[in-house]
Amino acid sequence: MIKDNHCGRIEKAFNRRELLQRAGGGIGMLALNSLLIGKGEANTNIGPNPMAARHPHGFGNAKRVIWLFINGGPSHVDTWDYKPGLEKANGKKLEGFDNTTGFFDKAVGPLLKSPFEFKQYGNSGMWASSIFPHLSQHVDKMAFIKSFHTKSNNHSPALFMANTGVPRMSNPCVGSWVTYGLGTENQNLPAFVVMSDPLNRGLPKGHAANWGSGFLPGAFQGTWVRSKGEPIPNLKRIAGLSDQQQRAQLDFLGKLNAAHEKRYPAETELTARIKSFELAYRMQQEAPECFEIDNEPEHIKSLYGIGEKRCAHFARQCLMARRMVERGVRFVQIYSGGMENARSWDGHGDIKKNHTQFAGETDQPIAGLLADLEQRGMLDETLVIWGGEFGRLPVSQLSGGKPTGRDHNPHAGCYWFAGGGARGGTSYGETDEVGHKAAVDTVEIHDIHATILHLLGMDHKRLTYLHSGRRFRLTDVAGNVIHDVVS
Amino acid sequence: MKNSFTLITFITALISFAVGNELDHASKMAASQKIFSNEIRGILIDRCVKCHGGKKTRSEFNLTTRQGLLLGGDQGVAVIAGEPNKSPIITYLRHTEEPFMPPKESRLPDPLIKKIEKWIALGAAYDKPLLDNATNQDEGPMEVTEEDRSYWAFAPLKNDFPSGAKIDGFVKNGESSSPRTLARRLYFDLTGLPPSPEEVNQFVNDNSPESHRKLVDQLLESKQFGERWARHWLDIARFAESHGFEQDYDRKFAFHYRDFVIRAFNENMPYDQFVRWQIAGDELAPNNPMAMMATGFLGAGVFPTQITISEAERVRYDAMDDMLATMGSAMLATTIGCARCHDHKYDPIPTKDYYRMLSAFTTTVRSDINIDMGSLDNKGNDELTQKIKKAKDARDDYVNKGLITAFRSWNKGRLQTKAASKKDPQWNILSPKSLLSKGGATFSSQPDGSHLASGKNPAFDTYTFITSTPTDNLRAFRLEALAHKSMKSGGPGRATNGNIALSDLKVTCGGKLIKLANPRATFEQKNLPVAAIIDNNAKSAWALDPQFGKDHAAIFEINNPADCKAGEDLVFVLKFENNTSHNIGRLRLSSSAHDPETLTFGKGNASPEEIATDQIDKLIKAAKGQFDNKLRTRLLEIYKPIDKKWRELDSNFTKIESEQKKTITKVMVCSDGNKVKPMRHHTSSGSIPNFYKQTHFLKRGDTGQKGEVAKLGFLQVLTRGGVPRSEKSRSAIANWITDSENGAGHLLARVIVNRIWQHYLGQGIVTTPNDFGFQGERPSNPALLDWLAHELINKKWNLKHIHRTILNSDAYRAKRMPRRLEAEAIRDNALAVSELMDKKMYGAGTLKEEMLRRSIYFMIKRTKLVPIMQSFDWPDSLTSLGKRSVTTTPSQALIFINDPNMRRMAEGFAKRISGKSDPIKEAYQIAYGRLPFDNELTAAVAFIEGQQKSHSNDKHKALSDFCGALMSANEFIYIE
Repeated sequence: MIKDNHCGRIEKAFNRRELLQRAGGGIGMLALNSLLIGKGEANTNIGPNPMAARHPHGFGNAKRVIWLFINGGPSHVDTWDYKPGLEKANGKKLEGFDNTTGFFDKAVGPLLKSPFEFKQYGNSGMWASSIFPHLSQHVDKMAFIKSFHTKSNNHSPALFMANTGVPRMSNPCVGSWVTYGLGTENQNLPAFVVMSDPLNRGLPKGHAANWGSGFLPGAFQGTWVRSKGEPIPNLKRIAGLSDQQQRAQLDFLGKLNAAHEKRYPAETELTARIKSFELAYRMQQEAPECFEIDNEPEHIKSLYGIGEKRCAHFARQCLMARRMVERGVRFVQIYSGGMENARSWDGHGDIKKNHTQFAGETDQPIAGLLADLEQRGMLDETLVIWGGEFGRLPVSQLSGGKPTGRDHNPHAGCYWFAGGGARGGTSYGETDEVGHKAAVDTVEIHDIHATILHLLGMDHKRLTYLHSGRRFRLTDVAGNVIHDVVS
Repeated sequence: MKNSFTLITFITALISFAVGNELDHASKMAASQKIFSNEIRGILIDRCVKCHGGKKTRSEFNLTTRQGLLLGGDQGVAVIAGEPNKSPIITYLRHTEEPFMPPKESRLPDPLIKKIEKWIALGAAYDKPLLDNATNQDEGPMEVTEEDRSYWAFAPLKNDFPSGAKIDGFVKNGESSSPRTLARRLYFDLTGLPPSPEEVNQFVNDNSPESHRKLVDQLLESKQFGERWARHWLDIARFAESHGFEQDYDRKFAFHYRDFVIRAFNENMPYDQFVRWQIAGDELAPNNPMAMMATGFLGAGVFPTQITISEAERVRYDAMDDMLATMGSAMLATTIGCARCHDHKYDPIPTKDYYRMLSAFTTTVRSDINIDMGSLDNKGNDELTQKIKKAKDARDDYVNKGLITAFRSWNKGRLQTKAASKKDPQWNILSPKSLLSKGGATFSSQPDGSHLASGKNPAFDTYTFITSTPTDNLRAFRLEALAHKSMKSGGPGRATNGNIALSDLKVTCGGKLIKLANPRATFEQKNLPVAAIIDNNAKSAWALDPQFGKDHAAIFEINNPADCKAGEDLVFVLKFENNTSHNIGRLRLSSSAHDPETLTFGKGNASPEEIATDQIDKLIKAAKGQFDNKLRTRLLEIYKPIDKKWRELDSNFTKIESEQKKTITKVMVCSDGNKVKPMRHHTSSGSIPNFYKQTHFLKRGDTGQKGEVAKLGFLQVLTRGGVPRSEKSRSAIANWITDSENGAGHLLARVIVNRIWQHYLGQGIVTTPNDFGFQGERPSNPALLDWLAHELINKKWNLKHIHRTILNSDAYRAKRMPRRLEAEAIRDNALAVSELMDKKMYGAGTLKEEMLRRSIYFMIKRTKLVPIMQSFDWPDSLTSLGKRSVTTTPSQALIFINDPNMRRMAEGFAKRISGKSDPIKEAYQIAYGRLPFDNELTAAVAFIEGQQKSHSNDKHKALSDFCGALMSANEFIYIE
């Protein structure tokens, strides 16, 4: 059935038996990285080396992803989607508006123009709001999608949509699919890392299900990096045990296991587990170094804004993300903001105050990240994504009777891609006059997911997993690659 | 063929569109339909219909219905739903291929073509035909045929098995494993815990042919069996203790469902009952705490706790779908949920069947209710449990032996006494010298000798009734609580519902306490028996809910008639201390000198004796001298409650049973939302209902497209003849699913025996334990599967019989490759060898990793899965899981080498062996059930010496390092 057979070679190379032979024969990276054995439900079998780095289907520049998840619902009309029509209609009623579109049907006010000033930037003349003095300098790297829309007007279902493609808690997230598809390039670090708000403002709604591996094997779930204490559990040797003592213990363990393994020579699982202890030992040494940003040069730290109180926390996370992808981590997701309302981009009460604050927390760090990746020559292979679960309404939400807030808007929202093969300085899709609904070239989350996989060199229709008698895809039965944003 | 499906990341045929996530597919179709209604419809009507289904139908291509559109015309297929790039119609519209469409006209504008592409990509949905008279045959219902019913999973069980068949007649087996290996295998498989060295040695040294059988029986009876096997079922039940979604609130009382499963497996509850109670325990046995706990099954799935108006109804349908779909996967290995939006694509399940079954859950909601768990809570009181059993046995033995003789003599004598008893009034109504309420109620005497209370009605009252003893030789007192319209519901009590709760009655005659016995009453509320009045427990009581508005009476026999002398002061003290204001509203007291055996409750209330006598009379008359066993049993059944001896034995049993502490406990159950208070969290509007009154057929699963109201029904493919439908809908489903003649019982049996087989043999006879449908695997040994299912049903759904049958087979004993333990068993094994384990069973769990109880007592919070468990492939608890993944990762290794809890266990293990004469040998026996080989011993000695030296001669630390290594080794968690 596959007409488009340009990756037949790869398919053949990954036939399970051949893969096993390769692993057994010690050829190449695959055997070296024998890390994990997976046995899924039923006849699903992901082969002996799913965490090993793998070649994708054959197109796409990106090797890794940093997704800046703008949590809480960033307002497109106050960030990147400039709407002169909204300015004109300021204070008017939006005719035909369904009051149940947002969350608070009893607090719908008149149309509200953006409290921020919009200008064009760069050679491409892309529009940006005044809340992004640093990021606006990088618009020529960005490919905007301004016609995103989603299915739910409620945080957690919309978060699940953005992360997993379904509005429920059940499916694997993008990061899990990507690591399932590509493995990772550094076995001593987690393949997929998630950082959440370090300022005690909570986790995104739906918590860990946003980076869960659903029905994929648990090894593909995101590793949540704690903002305080040990970033990853169990990296530290137990108190009172020296490196030398632990090494001796592992050597003794090696002897125990070797004797046992001889009795069951055909069991690759046993072998994989023996190796996992050596990997763990190395991870324990290498991972802390990766999270350690204090030794970065001062000019790099200040590029990200680590000295600035308003954004130091996010700057540290962005710099950490760079260090991770530099060392081969496949997928990093950083959540900007905590849970909801004033704790994230969820500007129900006062959009001006809210977005000023959260843009302030992220503008310089993200700009620093883009500049840093570029100067290191890593941007071409690193896909940076900016976007959240939905946009916000052009009509105001009344707060204490005043039209100062904005409610959730499932019908419109904005994303941008930078690096990793995204076509900088372009914009795809449009919302209507006032920014209420996506109107031209509308894009849904499956299209965005398909495009992410495409930029990573994977065909979203072929990245499947058999579960409960069905072949599941990240994009389900939908998804079109948005070629206009791919260079 | 299926093996060629072996899946590697990017080997994928492009067939996935047909089998994607059904729910999401639905929303695609909905989106497609929306585009259709908004734009496509207009385009097709303007530009296409004229020639294709309107006045003409050119090229036999009629696109007035979706079916016609997809069928194509004489040029072939025009549209492939979901595949705009492969749909020729697009090339016609783009004018890149002939015939250009529309013909002889300008091309449609590009945005419109793009729209059409998108519409096709999403599934090319229609909302209704383009023309009113066109029929949309797309809606033609799926017919379930006899051929469908003959599919292996749905077909009746084969039953032509030779008598004396056994597993080893169905499968060939290799050599048996060594006793040492078998000991470990049995202990881990049955209890999830390691055998102690003594237990291993005992088994190894027992050379009797019965040794295996004996150990199997012993382990099946151990309490740890339930804790081990319950966990397997909890995977299938997608059990967790939080809602998931937005806030992931805890379900604090959901753990009772876990406890139900443990108890049910331990007491070997018949599997059909186990299933029935999980579906409808609240309807079938509302007074049984186990039945109520079981309903936690329905409510174990995820549920959003923050709902907006626009999603409310869909969310409710999702919640019902979760119940039905999980029931389908867990119990029938059938993907019923796939028929939500359209007829099932592979299995003979029409959408109609789906909604008919779904309607059973229309009013089903979660609720935290109070339940008396006293009957379950005898733990630590084995003596009492024994006493209860003894009392029950004594009563039941009497039914089998002495009762018939008693009946005969009663039957003979009753006609003689009847006449006599009619002459004299049995009861002498007592009139008081004084009647006082301690709480200040006032009494007014009524013409019939009763006393009506009014005025103050304190929370707890005491009535004192003083009179003179009328005659010598009193044999009994009667206390009546009589109805009256002045009370709520007509009384007879003054409580807000009309109930009474009489907690205590003391009678003195001439200052001497009269001992009362054999109390009986017209009615007793559950758990509030008349015996409670004289049990010397001020809190227990006799009550009457729901028998309000009626006269009630209780009779007490006087133990020693000589205690009462005529003329002496006779004082009755009635206490009401059980429940707020449950004081009797109209009281009458009487005495009798008649033989208590002959006494009846009195006028207006037929006594049990009278009713029984009447029934027995009728039966004997109808039998016309023909007595068979059935009639005899029936007569004894009626007679039993009026037989003095039986009543004594029964009241003795009830009394002892009531010594069990009453433990009112909050339990999360699922029940009818009209009867219990639905659990509710914040929704965006107070107007969002907890459930809707009716369940409708939905077109494409869309709540915006409701059809008729769905009436209860079952999967047609699993229904033969008539299945009785009780009025309660979930009970009907429960009965159908366990009905092995006309319902789904045969499949139910196949599915569970396959699961048991899978856990013992590593792989099911059907390797897709949650899908026996067309997409699943076929059974590798259909005869064996059917025979086991047959055995289960024949042995009255006795699960332990199936366990035993498998465990005693050669197939189970055969040599095999080692298998990794599951998360719980890995951790429990470490806890067991450390001797740190807290063996407390049941009750609320915790998220704390340092917990020392067995892992099944970890709380399961969906967004905070316990890390060590999750690391070893705990299920995600979002949907039913029939078989866990087994992954091997460095983070697991990090747990073994660095986790402080694991280290604590290694230290416990070290402490356990440190005093032994040969700690290394002891350690090997504890950890692996064997002695070390010589080279292992040498290596261990060298390692411990080296570590001890480097730990400044701290031997405990060195031994802990050693034990930690033993616990990290493959042999510790891979069991052969």
